[in-house]
Amino acid sequence: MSKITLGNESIVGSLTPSNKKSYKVTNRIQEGKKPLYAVVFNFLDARFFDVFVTAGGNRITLYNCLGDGAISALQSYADEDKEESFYTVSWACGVNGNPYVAAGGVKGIIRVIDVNSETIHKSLVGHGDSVNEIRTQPLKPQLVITASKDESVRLWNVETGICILIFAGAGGHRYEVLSVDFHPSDIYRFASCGMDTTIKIWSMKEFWTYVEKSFTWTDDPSKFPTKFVQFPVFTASIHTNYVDCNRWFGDFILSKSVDNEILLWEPQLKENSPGEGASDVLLRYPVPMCDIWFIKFSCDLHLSSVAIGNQEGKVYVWDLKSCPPVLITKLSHNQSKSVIRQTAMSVDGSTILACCEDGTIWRWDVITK
Amino acid sequence: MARKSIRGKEVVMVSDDDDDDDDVDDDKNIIKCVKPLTVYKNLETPTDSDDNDDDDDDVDVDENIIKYIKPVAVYKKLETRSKNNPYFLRRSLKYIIQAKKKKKSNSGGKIRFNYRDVSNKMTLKAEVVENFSCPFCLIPCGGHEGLQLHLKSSHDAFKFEFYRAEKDHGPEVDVSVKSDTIKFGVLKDDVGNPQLSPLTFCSKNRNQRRQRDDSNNVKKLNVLLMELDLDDLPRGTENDSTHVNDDNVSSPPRAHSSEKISDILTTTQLAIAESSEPKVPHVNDGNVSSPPRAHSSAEKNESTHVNDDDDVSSPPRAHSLEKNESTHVNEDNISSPPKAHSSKKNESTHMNDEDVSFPPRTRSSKETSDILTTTQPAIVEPSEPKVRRGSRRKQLYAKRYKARETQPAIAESSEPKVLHVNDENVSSPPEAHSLEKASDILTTTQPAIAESSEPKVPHVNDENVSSTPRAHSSKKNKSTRKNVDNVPSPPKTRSSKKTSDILTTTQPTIAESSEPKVRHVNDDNVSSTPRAHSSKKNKSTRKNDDNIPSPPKTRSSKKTSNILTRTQPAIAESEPKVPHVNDDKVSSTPRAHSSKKNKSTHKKDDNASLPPKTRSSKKTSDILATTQPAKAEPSEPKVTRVSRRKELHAERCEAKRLERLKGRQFYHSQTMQPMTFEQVMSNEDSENETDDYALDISERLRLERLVGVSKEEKRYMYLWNIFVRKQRVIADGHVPWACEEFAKLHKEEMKNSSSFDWWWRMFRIKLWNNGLICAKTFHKCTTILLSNSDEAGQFTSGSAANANNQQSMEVDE
Repeated sequence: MSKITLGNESIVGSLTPSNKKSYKVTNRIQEGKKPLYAVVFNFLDARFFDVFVTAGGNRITLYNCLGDGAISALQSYADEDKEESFYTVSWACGVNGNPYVAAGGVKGIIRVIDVNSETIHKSLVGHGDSVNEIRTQPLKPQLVITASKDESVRLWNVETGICILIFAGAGGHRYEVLSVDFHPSDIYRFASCGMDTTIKIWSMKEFWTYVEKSFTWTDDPSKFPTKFVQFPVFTASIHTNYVDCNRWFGDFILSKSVDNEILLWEPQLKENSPGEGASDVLLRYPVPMCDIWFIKFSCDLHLSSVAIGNQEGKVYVWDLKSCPPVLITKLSHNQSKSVIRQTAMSVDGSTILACCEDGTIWRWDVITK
Repeated sequence: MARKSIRGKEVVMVSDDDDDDDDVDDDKNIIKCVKPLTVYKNLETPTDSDDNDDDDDDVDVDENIIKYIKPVAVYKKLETRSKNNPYFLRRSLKYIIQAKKKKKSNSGGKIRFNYRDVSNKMTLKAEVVENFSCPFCLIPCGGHEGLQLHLKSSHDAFKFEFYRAEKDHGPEVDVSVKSDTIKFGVLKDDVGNPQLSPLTFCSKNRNQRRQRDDSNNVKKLNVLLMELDLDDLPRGTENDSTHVNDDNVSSPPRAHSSEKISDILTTTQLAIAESSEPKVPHVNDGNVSSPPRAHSSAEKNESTHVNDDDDVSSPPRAHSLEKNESTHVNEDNISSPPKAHSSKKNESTHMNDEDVSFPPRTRSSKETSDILTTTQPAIVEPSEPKVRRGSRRKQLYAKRYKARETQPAIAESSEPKVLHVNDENVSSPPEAHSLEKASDILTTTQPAIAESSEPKVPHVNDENVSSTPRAHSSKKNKSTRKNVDNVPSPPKTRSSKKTSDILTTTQPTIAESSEPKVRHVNDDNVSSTPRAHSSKKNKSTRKNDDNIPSPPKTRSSKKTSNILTRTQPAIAESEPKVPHVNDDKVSSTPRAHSSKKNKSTHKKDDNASLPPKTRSSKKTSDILATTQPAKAEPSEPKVTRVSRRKELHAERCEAKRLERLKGRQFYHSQTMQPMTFEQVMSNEDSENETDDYALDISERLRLERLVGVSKEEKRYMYLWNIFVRKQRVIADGHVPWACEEFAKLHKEEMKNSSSFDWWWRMFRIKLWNNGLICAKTFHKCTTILLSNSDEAGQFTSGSAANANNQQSMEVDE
């Protein structure tokens, strides 16, 4: 358990928009009546940077972000199980570069869709409860990690459909895991957070042989020697309530709880002493009216800014490159009153998508001066 | 009540003394069996009620039920007795109550029993049993498997179908009566229908019985003598049907009688025939059984007694009974040669077995013994015992018989016999009656009978053994012809002896002929074999009647027995008939089928047919002719049905099981990964294995955290800890071994790294300080390191020296 070092005051950003950039609503799509929980741009393949995917209810829909604020629907998938409700979706890649979409939800089954062939590539079974977040390892986009209500985090190989590792057990989460994120440069490392208010940093370095083995596994996936990783390398208690989103920012971590703010903090791991260390909260990004759980933020590919919606349908865009934190802008529209569950920033941050609980997708485009 | 309580005790005593689980079970079974059997009985009775026997049965139902209830007095006495004999403890009320509480507390093991009707189509009654206890005898079987085994072994009169209907439901068991098991609400097995049980099986059982008995003989005998009131004994078997009860009561006497009879027989046999002696036991069985029957018949009047008795008593016994009674024939014929030799022994042992197993019998045995002593002479003279049997009915029968006697067609008498055979159980009492009359007649006509009977004799022999009662009937039938036989027949016992000899000679032929039948029989019932025999007899007259003819066999058997004793040459003559028999058998296979029918449905038929028999053999012959075809037709489908059903049942169960497994997706308990069906069936369970790889890593990570510890030391600790975990070094005594092995394992590494070696040495010193290793071990480890580079020669000398120096430190070795 990490300590919060004293003497380092975290700097709280000002809610006064700097308006360095301004956005305007360019499109609004009513996808359905069911709440949309996830919207994600494809950052994995430069050919498809404009393509994003949404998930809600039992549907997964792919769109193309065109110029002039136009959005065209590309594909839509509906799970045969009408009870299914997807909570999260992520892009992934086959070994041969095929774009995949992996989505998971209340049923705990992860559907891996081969977008090119428009078929289900794999159905990853193993989670004992709903899947709250799926993230893809950008350096090895066949690796997908999932956070689940069953208090475990699992690492999958979507190409072969193998459950490689399970991060759970003695040192694991004690409640639903709500969010996970791969370290941007350290391929072995990822962070997870959940309802037990902790953020844990895990390393799979010792088990990397199994990850490699999963690519060459030809036998039945269920016979793969799935390993358990029981102890994280670091456990931080930054928050005092559900932690529903965390993202790596370099070696720092951005995380949010239901306290109307996003924290940027630094995990200070001690060399050779896993599990110990300190954490230092550096910056605080206030987000008013954001005290319900399962509201997730997103960054652009270059991590220059972060966007988060709130319960009132407003989006706050913070500049991550400045200290003290600068609020770039606050996006609001008089028709956007519904909870924004997730935002998606395009690669360069010029487009912000917000998916709402009323089933609408809002598109905001930056106004070029 | 007092009486009953006494009995209850007695029963208890007997079972306890036996030390025989089966027997103990039997008692309980008997008590518990009531429900299902009564149910079935109710089902059956309406149709069967035509029989004479039923009247009596209905009357006793209430009384019987009362018998099954243990009065408080019993429990009190049990309690007092339990102080001396712990066996009684579990039967005491306290214990039972406690056990029930326990059961409640462990709510596990709930199994639902569905009692199905005969056709296994609807559930008549359902009962939930806890703790895997047997619903019949309340014996906790410990588990599902145990229950299955118990049910199959102890309650084989029923068919049990185990399954689990739904996931959230507990296991269920469908209980149904083996459709071929019931006759008149009485278990067919008991009736002694050999068809029910495969011969091989029977013989096996018998052997086991004997062995057991031999060892326990004395005990059992004593037990038997202790106390048994035929009437009062509460018997599980009784539950089945009143008839049965009566029979049961009477049956035990048979067993006794057999013993006693055997003695008598031995004495009489000498006179009868030298060769016959070994067979005598068989005869004894038959005779013995008959006298008791006579008693029973007197008491109950009932025809079914003999067979019923045995059957009712207990399924396991049923086997033995079957063997004894009905299967006697089979056994004798087929397996008989050995049995024949041992027959005396067998008898005695059988008797013992039976006695032990059936307290009632034991009682009856006493009584019967008395009776036997009196009746045995009668037995010698077959007609007399029968006379006793004769009740009111006897008189009636007598009248009828007289009519029969007058019948011209004695030769055709076999036909009526046929009827008898079918009816064997039912008809037997009448036979007894007839015997009386017949005996008189017979005495006069014996010579003639002997002649005529000769050919039949071989048949008779087979049958005789199997059915002495039939023999009586045969007498009746033969009255004209075979009366003569009867006279010798008292001798039936004799004849049986003789016949046994003859059988031994004829058996080969018979066996040949009978064997095929036997198989049929196995499928169907024992009855087919008798038919086969009968067929021999009938051969000349008819094969058609085979089913029906079987009774004639019995009759003829008596006669034949006589004949046989007298005229073995006749047997030779009879042999030619054997081929006939074979033919018959060939033809009989269908009959065998029909026999099945007879069993299931035909019990009714038999009953129905019986009356005719009683009336007049002539008429019955006609009737038989008419009725048989009908029976034959239905029988075949039944046979196939029965066998098919069994097969289907087994197949279905297996298929169900697999289907259920297949229909479900199984997941690994830890990884939640779906399992393939092969994995499910592979019987492998790797879920609880420790993951050494992960543990190694965690160990290393743990050690890496240590501060102020050199890399070599960490490395050393890591290796040692892993070694200790993998080799499961747990006890102090393991340490010396572990040290040596560790040294061997990491020799190379220690050689290369002096600091590593040093850490290892330091560690050993610590072990030595703590007395975990001795100097000898210490030195060995050192020499192991040196051994490769240096000479191994030092090793031993050095170590020995070390050991001498520091013996005080030796802990190990």
